[in-house]
Amino acid sequence: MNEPLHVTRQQVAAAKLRVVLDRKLGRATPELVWRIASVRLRWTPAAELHVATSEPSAKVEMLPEQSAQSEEVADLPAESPELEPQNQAAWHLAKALHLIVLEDYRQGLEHALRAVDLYRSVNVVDGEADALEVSGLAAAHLGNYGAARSDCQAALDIYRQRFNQVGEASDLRALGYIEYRSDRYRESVGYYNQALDLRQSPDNTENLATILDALGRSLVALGQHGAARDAWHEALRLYRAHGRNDDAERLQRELEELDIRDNADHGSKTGE
Amino acid sequence: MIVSPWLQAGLSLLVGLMTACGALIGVRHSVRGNDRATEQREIAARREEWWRRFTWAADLALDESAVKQTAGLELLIKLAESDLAKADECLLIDVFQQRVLQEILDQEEESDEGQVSA
Repeated sequence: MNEPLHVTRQQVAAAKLRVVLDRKLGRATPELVWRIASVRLRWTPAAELHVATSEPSAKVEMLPEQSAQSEEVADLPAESPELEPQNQAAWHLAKALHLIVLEDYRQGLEHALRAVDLYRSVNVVDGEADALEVSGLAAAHLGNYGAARSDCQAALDIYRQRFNQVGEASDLRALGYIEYRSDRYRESVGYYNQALDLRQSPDNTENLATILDALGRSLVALGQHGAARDAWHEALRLYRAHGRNDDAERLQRELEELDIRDNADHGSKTGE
Repeated sequence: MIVSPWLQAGLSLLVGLMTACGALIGVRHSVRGNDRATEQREIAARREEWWRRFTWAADLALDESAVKQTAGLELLIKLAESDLAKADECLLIDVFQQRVLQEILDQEEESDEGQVSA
């Protein structure tokens, strides 16, 4: 059996960056890079969080000293009062994202909201939308779904006004996750389907499998098992095609569990 | 020459219609021109903001601290996913992942070659 490959947090982030760049530049991604990128330890958009529980791959392990520690937050560069408001806003947004990576959602939310205010003060609406989406994500992590929904909806309005489809798709996915967590499954399915429509354009297929995976979960919650199976089978195919073996194995298990549940329900009905 | 009153009325109507159409085309052309200018300004503003964030992310990604490097790379992922990141920008960002991944990819290659020769 092969020895596990030890990777650092930076290498995982670099591998994910490589995957995005390879897709955009039309290059092939080495299998090792896929494996490293599939280790789920970085910040992921809210919609991915409920599927981000799989264990690291058997062959790729994180070095223990690289795990997230709250004291590392102090290691970011300090904000300089001489910065222009727009640079200050970019700094707060960077800090918010960094804190969310480290799962410090409360502080992350504070920085995201500060970024929103600063972007508004200089009328940079694209920045405002990004900061609103990040504040929505942080609020969702803290269980404050009302504020999360409101921020992400405001971001969505801006993305649509600006014809920013990448931002729109990312925000729709976040809204789908927020509605799922709020037990509003029908709304969740609606948002995921809208995100899918945007992601299915030829040059914008990033994270299609993740959206289908999340969509399947909301459909299961709605009792629409047939449609959920269709979404999950497609997600499974894409996970395998992209070498995301951990996700593929987890989803395969969930599909099998769904089959067992449906067979049990069918058996109890015919038994009656 | 006697011109039929119907023909005269028709010609007047046609001239009127042509004038109206010409004016409409002119207005639409002007509106389109303004829309294009606004769109160009918006793209330029977004591009400026993209570069601003890129410099932040690049500074972080090149730092010696592991935490700052990771934050920088995470930000670069978001920037690379943007529709503003065209081939040139992607090639620029490419340098940052190479710095981090090259060593591990070289090691894997050497280990593969070792297995083949063994």
